[in-house]
Amino acid sequence: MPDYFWEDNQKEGLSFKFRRKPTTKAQCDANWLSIQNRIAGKKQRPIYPMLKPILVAAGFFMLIVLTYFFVNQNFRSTEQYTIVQTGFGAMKRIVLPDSTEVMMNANSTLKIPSVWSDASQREVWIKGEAWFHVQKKIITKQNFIVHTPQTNVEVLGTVFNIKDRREKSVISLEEGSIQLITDKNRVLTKIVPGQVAIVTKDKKMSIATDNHVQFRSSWQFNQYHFEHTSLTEIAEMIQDNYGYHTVIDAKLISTKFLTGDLTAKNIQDFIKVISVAMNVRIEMSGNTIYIYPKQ
Amino acid sequence: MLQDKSNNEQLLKWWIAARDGDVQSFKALHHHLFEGLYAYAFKLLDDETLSNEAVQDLFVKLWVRKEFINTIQQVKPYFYAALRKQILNHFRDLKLKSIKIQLSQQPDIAFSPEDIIVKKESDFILQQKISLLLNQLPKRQKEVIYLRYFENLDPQQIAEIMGINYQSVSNLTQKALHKLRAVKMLSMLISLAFLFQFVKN
Repeated sequence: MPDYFWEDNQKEGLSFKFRRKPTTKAQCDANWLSIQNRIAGKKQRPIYPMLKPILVAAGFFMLIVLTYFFVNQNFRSTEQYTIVQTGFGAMKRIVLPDSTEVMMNANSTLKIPSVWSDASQREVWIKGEAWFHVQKKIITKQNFIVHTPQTNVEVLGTVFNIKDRREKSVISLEEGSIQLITDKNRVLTKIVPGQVAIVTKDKKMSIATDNHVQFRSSWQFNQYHFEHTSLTEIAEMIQDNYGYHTVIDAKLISTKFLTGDLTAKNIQDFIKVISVAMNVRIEMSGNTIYIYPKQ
Repeated sequence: MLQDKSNNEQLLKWWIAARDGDVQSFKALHHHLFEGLYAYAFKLLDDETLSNEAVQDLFVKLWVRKEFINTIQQVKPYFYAALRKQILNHFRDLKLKSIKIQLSQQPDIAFSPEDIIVKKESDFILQQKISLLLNQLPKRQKEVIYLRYFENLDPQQIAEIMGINYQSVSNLTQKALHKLRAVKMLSMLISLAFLFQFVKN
């Protein structure tokens, strides 16, 4: 040990110094031998530097793939959906993979995810009008969500009718309970059977009570219920469900109302019954229906 | 500490050559550092086999990863720091493996009378007293003392090895020395006792 070491210690007021336990040459050599054997097995140059560009490329690839899946999950492309459409004057009954029954009215579009699993949420998108009988999932308690452009209807198992026409969603509940989630304030609104919720384009919601809520879905049995319904509303219905433009004589607007039930299998039946019940003259010309007062 | 400076230059030359794949330089590095590293490992692990393995693992690891190691300024402190980190990890792994093994997170250094040299070569009682006193120091103070006086490392290097700042090293050293200065008094007292005995006789 060098002399300065002693002096150093003396300066710091120590009257002793330390001694490291010496090791033998044999010990050192034996230690090195093991190291040599171990590093001989390893490559001189580790494999990583050569792999680096490949790993970076693989990383980027993974990133792209993950992003693709992520984006897909959030904004699923139409390829992963089944789209069911009904033409004017046609209805369609659909049974979803979870046994939920959907009756689609004319001129409606239903978007259904192609893959249904117990893990994923049950959800469909509707444009137009449809009647739903949602199967309750007792074990998994999976919600069923019906999206309309105006609102989202969250249900556990229930029977209801959704009519989304003219930028207005009318949800009428027959059984069970549903919640409406409108995007604007994310407030949940609970609806009980017999209530009708109306959500407009600007997400304004109003709730009304209808004692004959079941009539709102009777269209599926070709039955139509009217209660002081104006001719204008009936004309709109004709346009929505049968695709005919309607022209109403000015004299009739806001003077003619209809109350009662009628059964009509097609547009011909429909206008025949309407003309009799409302005492009007109806003429069909190409794609247009003209409604005149009876002379 | 001129000697240390030229020492580091030599070590650095070996390390740079080893990094380019020269096993002989790596061997030289090993032979030069082995005694100190082994002793340090032994102080922390208190087991010959484990200490041998620790040094082996360190060199193997550094060899395998040498391309990824940034420029080393001070070779000796770098190796000590790496060894210390490896031993701490070893302790942590042991602790994780079994809760039954009651180990402290930090390894502890134990001094023995043989570690101490007093002026009077044969004063075993004093050696014993000093080692006892040293062992009563807190762990970190012990480690600072060890690196400072056994391994002849300067406070900056110790700070680097222990991963603490320079000021902490000085503080720890001062605290430890304050306690050790009492030894000087102790040795005087012992000498006096001898003297009295001599006078009596």
